[in-house]
Amino acid sequence: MKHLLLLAITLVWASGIMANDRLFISGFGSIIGSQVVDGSGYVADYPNIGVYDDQFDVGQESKLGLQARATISEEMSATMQVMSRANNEYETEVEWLFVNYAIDDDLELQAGKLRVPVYYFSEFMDVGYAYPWIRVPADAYSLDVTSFNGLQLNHRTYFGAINLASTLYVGRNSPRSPEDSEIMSFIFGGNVQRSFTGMVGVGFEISTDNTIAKVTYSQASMKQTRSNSFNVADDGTTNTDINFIDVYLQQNFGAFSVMLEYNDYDPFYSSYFVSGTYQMGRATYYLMHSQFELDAKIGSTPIEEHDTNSLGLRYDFKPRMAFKFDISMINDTGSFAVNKDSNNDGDATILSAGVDFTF
Amino acid sequence: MKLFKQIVLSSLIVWAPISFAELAVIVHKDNTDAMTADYLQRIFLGKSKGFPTSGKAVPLDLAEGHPVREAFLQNVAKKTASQFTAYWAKQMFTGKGVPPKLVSSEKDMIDLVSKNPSIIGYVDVASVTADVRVVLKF
Repeated sequence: MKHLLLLAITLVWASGIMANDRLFISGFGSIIGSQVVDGSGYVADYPNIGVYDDQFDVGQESKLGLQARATISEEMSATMQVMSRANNEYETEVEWLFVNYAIDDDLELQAGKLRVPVYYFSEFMDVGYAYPWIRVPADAYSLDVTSFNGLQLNHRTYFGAINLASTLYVGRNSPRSPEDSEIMSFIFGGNVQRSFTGMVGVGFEISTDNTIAKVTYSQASMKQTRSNSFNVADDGTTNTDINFIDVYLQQNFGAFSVMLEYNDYDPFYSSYFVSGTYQMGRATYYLMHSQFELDAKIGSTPIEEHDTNSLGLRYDFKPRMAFKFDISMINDTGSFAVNKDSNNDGDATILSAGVDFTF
Repeated sequence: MKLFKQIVLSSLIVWAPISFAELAVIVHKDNTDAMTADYLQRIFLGKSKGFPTSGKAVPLDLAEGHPVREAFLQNVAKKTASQFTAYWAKQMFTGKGVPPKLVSSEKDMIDLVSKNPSIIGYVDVASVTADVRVVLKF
């Protein structure tokens, strides 16, 4: 199936070169440099393991994405998005590869490799230009499965000035993409492989000029295989039914915006973030608080628990380019710190600066 | 240092709508559809793909930095130019569509609208010619 799509894309590309108005090429990227100024380490990007230490590093979250969208007919298009991530040695990976079929003006079907639409920012968390912060809140965006192969139906309708967008998806993630489990291996040690099958999810988003409310629900069967664990008793294969609920709210008050997102990943953890932004001319200032709490506890203390407070700035210094600056303080309150430092508390302060662009 | 100065200076400017001459939203002369501000916004944000009754709608946008464009985006899309770009980056890179094509001048805009019944664009009222129909004014 995937090879067939690749072939289809290649053919469309070839014909697109001859008729250029059928082909739309665009891209995005971020160059981000960070340094832990207090503490020993900070996980800035859980799904892709962007981890900083006390040396200035532009090789964790910097990335470039290229997208080609080819119009095949009035109803049909094919899209391919490839990305190179610094923390993956800039190896190019296909992030999206799908055909889009417009059933009518309001309903479309996507088939192929897509992003799991669970969080509000899930599908565009790599497109820094599209949000105010230097990164999506790490504590609240830690889900290890980000892509799936399958089908997605998108429906749009409106009632006066109120828009309603609904999504239904079914599929499975690729069991051959070990990077989906890298974060679990990073946290648990040893080697953790996870595959998700029977993925089904729905999402509903209501929006007006100043308000966005979105709810998603997903479920799947997860098969996990652990090997070479620190504790041999942890090795082996387990099957778990999982479900994920996410709620996102955004309200704009003139130049002020407030964003709130909460999610519960049953049976593992819950997390949330709250952020306020204030726009003044080309500058947008932000405050953010995010928290992660694992359900599993030792006594009354979650095994993994941490929160982050961030203060930052986005400055749109050129069209399609935004400079960002951020200072974040992580407070690790779990039984086992994610990043151990000299006093073993996992707390850290990190400075980051970067540029996001789109073209 | 220059960047720092720019940030401080820009922060002192209070966010306010840009004042502008009247805007005219234009379509082909054969297009008889009525248009509301909400509907127009949906077309430019890719939330509606067609006119209320007369088929496919293809929005055209003026080039980045054009003074008429800034006013249009603020009044119709209710977004600044960078918010509009950010919105379309989100749509585009999640496979939800592509942004309106850009045309470099009001003259080109009128020319393209006058030749294609699917196209909807906008110009300063003072630039409107008899070749197009004004469907909405701001």
